[in-house]
Amino acid sequence: MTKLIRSQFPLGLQATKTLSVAIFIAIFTFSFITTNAQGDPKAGKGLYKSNCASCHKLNEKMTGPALTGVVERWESGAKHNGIDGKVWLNRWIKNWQDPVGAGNPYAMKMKDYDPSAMNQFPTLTDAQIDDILAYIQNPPVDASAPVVKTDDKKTEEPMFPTWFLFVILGVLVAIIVALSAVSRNLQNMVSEKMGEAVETHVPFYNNSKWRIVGGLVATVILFLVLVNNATALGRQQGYQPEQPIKFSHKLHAGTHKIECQYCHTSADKSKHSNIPSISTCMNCHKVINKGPKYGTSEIAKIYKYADYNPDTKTYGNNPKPTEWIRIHNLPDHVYFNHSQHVKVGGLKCQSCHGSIEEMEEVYQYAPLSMGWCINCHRNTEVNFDGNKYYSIYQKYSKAKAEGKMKGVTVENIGGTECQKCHY
Amino acid sequence: MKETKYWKGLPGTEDLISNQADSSEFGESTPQLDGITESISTTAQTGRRDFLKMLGFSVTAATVAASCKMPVKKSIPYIFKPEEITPGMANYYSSAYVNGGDFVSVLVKTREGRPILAEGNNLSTISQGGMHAQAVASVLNLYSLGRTQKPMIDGKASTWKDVDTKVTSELSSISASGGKIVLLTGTIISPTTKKAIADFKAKYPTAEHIQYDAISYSGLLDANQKTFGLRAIPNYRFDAANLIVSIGADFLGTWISPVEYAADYAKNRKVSPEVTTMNRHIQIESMVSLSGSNADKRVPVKPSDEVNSVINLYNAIASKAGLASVSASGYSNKDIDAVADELWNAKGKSLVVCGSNNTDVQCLVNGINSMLGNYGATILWDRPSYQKQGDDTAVANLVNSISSVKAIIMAECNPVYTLADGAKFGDALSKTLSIYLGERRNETSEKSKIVAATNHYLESWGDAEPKAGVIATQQPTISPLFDTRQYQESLLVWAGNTTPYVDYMQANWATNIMPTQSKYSTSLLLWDNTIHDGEIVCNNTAPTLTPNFADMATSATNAKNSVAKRGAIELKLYEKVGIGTGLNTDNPWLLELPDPITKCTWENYLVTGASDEKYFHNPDHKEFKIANVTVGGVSFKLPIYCLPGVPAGVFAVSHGFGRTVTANAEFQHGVNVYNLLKENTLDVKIELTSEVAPLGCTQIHHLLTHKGLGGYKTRHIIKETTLDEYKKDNASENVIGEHKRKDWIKDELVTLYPGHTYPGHHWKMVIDLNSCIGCAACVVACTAENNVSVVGRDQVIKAREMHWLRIDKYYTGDDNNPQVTFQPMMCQHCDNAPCENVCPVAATNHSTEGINQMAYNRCIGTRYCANNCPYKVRRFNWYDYADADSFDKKYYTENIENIAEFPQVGMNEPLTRMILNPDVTVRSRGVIEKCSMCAQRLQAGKLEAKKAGEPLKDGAIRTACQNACPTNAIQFGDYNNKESLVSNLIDKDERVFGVIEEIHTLPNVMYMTKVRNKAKIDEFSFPENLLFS
Repeated sequence: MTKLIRSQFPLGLQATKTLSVAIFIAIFTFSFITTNAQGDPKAGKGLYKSNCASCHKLNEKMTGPALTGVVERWESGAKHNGIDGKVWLNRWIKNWQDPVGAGNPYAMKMKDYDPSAMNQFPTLTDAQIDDILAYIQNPPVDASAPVVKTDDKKTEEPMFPTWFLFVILGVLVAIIVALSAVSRNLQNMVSEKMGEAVETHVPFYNNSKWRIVGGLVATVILFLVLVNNATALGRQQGYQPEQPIKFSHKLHAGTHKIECQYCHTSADKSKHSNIPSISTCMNCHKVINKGPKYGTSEIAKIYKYADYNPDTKTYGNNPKPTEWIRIHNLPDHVYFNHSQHVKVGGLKCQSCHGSIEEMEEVYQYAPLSMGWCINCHRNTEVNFDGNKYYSIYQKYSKAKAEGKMKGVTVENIGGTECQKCHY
Repeated sequence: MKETKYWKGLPGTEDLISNQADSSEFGESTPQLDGITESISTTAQTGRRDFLKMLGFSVTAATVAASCKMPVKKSIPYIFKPEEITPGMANYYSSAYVNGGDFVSVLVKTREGRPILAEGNNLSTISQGGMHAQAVASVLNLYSLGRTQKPMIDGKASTWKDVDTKVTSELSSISASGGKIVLLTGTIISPTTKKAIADFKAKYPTAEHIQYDAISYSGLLDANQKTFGLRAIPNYRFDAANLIVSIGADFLGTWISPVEYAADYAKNRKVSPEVTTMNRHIQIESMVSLSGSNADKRVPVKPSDEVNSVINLYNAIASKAGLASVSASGYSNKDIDAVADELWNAKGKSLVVCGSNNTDVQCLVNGINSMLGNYGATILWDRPSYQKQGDDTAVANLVNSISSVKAIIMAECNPVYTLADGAKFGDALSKTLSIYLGERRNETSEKSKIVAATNHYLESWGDAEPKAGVIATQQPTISPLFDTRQYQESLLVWAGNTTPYVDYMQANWATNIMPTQSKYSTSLLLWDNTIHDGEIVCNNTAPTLTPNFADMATSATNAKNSVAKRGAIELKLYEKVGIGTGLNTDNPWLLELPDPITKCTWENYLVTGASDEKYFHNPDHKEFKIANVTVGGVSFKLPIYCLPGVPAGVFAVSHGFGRTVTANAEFQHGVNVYNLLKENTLDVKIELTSEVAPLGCTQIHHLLTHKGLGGYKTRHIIKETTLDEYKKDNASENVIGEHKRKDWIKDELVTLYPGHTYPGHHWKMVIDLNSCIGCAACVVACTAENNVSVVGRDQVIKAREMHWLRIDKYYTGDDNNPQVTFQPMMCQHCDNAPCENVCPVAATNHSTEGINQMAYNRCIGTRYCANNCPYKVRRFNWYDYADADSFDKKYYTENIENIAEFPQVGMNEPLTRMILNPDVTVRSRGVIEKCSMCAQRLQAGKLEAKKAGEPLKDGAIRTACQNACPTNAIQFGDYNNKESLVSNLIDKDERVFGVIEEIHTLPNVMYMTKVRNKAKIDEFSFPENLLFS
């Protein structure tokens, strides 16, 4: 799909690409010009993420204060005993009790910023601290961010719309009919003139043979349409309801690469892959209160459901359950077990749920029809070697060893029988 | 050729029954809903235009319905998920079913926090993993619509604060003025509850605690007081006895601790090529009991002669022992003399028990056991049983002096219903401070001023000491569903102690139970482990007793006098296995459970023998003659059921019915006969009326055809032999026609069809007819596990009961005292299944694991399969019993003229539906269903093995029926695993056979020949005219 778009708009793409490179270079150069610390912001980024990010953000208060401008603030306000503010800052980061013990008034003030004391980082070297501070002063722009946004669902616009082709087809058919009528009339006129007997023409729609054939064809088509639609009743492939919280699997599973089973904990244990409780969300969102797309609005909903006050960091007594809309619905007479497929079968979640890590909003990827289940059971081979349970299927193991069977499918061990899923 | 005759109905009516066999359930034409199709059905002509109209309407309706939007379903996760709950996975908790003294240790299965099934707890030394019907069904009581949902004062909803204030202030003032306070309870076997009651009595010194058992064991307790100086029940060891003689005690069904006794009894009846000894059981009784049905020899006697038999036995044994005899009874029965001889030969290895509630009779029984040297051998005093503690004298005094009682608190009992003077007692409750502590509404709660709604046992903490030093625990498996409080906590609050009961119990354990055990070093370990296991066996010092059998002569005279006033017709009051005392007669599972003896459901009736034809019901069991019964000053009407085995001149009627206050009017059938306890039931008048009534009796529903095919005269449904024959030949009587079964399989079992192959598992079940006692715990367990619908009395009358597993009861031998064989019958999962061939839509077919599968959603309800099933185990959903599809009950109730037609008793309310097993589809109207061999358990068991990466262990999968069985009669496993128990039994034990396997169904459910410990089996040549049609 992407390829097509590129071929269609090569110039535009080229232009944006050039532009983004230019911007990047500009920012990068600019950052070098304004940097006065000796640190390397690139190295600092990693150090910042691993050491500071759990309590600090650059432009927002978290457990600790926002860090943008921290060097400037210390330089202007923390000079003490003739030692530079920047030096005090380094000593604070290594062990905050050091400047406090030395009676630095700025440090005394910062000590009471939050009841929770800052961690100590005695292992950080001055050079590393400089790297971190350099990063804080000049966070590099993420050059890998996608510049051109392509819509997943956008399809190629054909040169002519389908209806247009049908119109042309219709016109052609009309011309053929008209021409054949004309030619027949002409022939009749010729015959008349020649004195031959003129065949009385019965139009095909009055012809009983044609009627029977037409009727049969129409019945068969109607029947097929009816059966197809009837069997599809209740199927909801593509179902994409709006959820109470605009949770993005693309962000969580795609960008941040959070394991599916971090939230859907019971997928390998139980028949259900559970929908995480709001407390699971709070594991991270106690700290992360702003998202890239919706800002604080969606995360605020989590707080509302959990009855959590982000300012006081306390839970209230009035949490309420989140009423997610269920997307994947199986009929009540179908038994499906996640753990059988995830743990025993070793299937990836994506096999049935699609590229969930690319879905901003989840939709039903698979038809979840019985035919779809059965097809997979017919084609999927069971891993006999990895699981001693299957040792009872000696007949198959033997046939496999002798090369009589290529592989043992789920169907071979009874995976398409009624009472494997219906009981 | 020897043919043994088995029959199910009344003697002499086999021909009618055999004609019925094919048609009992589907005999009538499909009923059509009145109103809707009336115009069509009455004219019985559907014209072309009508047809087209209907067709057009249906298509349009379907189109409209199809274009509707799919309903939006929600998935609502926990806010904070409890650590122990994984959605979709079951958790198990140990607990104990305690109903008065009735005790069964259970393992409760919960799903997402909902208890859905109670199974036996293998770690219990009392119930030993077994269950009985009432214990299995007890889970449903939790979701009963009859629950007392909140505290009430004077019939109005109140709050606990108001109740506590009112009760405490009134009790205090009554106590201060010296007014009498009575705490009336059933037998309390909980040590901590007893402590709470002691605390309560300490706070209110005028309080008196009276215990009573609705069906009293006072006579037995008083006799032990008299002869041993201890008012308790000894530790009966049915497993140690070689000869068991029971005089009217139904120890396998209802007597004291039936699950324990059944488990012990069966241990000694499991014969195998290695073990060829088994106990011998003789039952002397009037009404046929479950024990009597299992006895090797049954001596039918009148109720009064049960007492005379005891005197006769005493004298016969005393003369052998050279001891003084007592005055003769004047009754002579050579069978009793023969029993005495056998007893004397089994001295020290025998056990005599008696169901009488007469102290003097029980004294004589103690005397008999003492002369036989059974004390110390089969009757132990090491751990006396506390399961019955009721005191008739105290209860009688209470009833007489009820007007002087200022306050009465009632817990775990229903005195207004179960007392002989219940009505009088009920009236008195309105004149005093009456407080009812109960879990469900009943006759007593209606009459009480204050109802302190209590928890169900699955919502409560508790302990129980059924036998001295054997202490079991209860733990909550769900938060209280309603605004209720367990009664011990209420008593504590009223005694001024606001400690939560769990803390109170834990403290009691630390101080009082901790020192009596040596298994755990700290009280926390003791608590945690016992709560987990469900039971702890503490040290116990046997009481020192001084036996005193000096006054047997007086006992005999009194005993004789007690039955002196007898008339031509005697009435026996008995207890049903499923219903018991009647506290659970609002449980639809138990009501619909066919009584193991009469196979009747939903109500009580008069039972008499099969000797007098004037009482006979019609052969198709549809019309039962109604009789008017007069006992002293009481008279009532009930239909008569003729049961082979009840002696002439004896009528019997069961307790437990005629309830007037229950959740649902459907539960209120029959007559309450507790008021007859004060009358002389040995002289009653029975007058037949001209009326008849139907009974929901399943005895001749779903009959297997007995007529043979292909050269066999009869079909081989039951196989039985005697112990002597078995010792000579392990395959004795295991024949098919002229052939031994083994030879038949080799020579005759030939086929041109290729048959199925089983590459993986091949499930098979083996049921030992010798161990099965027919108690029907499995039937209720199957109902609970598989969401089997309750259909209601009217539907049972139409043979539409839904039980996947039934217990067939066959008679053989003497018309008036037949031998009984119980045969659990469910889908036999035939490898060559007749049902599979006839399904037009292949909704039923065979799996590669030997299971006959049933796909409900494919079924179109032709019922060809049910018709073609030789075992008659397929059930059809005539209605939407559980509201499974979209039509709601209102639709039926508005459109059906006879509203009783529609069952109102099933799992079709939001509350009762909480019992449903979420792993099993709820079937809707118009489909066939049947035993799935617990497919959900097979799948779950295999999955566990796969997840562990290990081969499936034998015994890892147990079916629901197997788990409930108190006697381990049912074995289940993989036949392809050559080390499994079932494959060993099938390949090596020559008792194994398949029911009517001569018709080549190749069943996967096998049975094991019943072995009777008697001289010869009853033989009977089958009437020729019945054999070939």
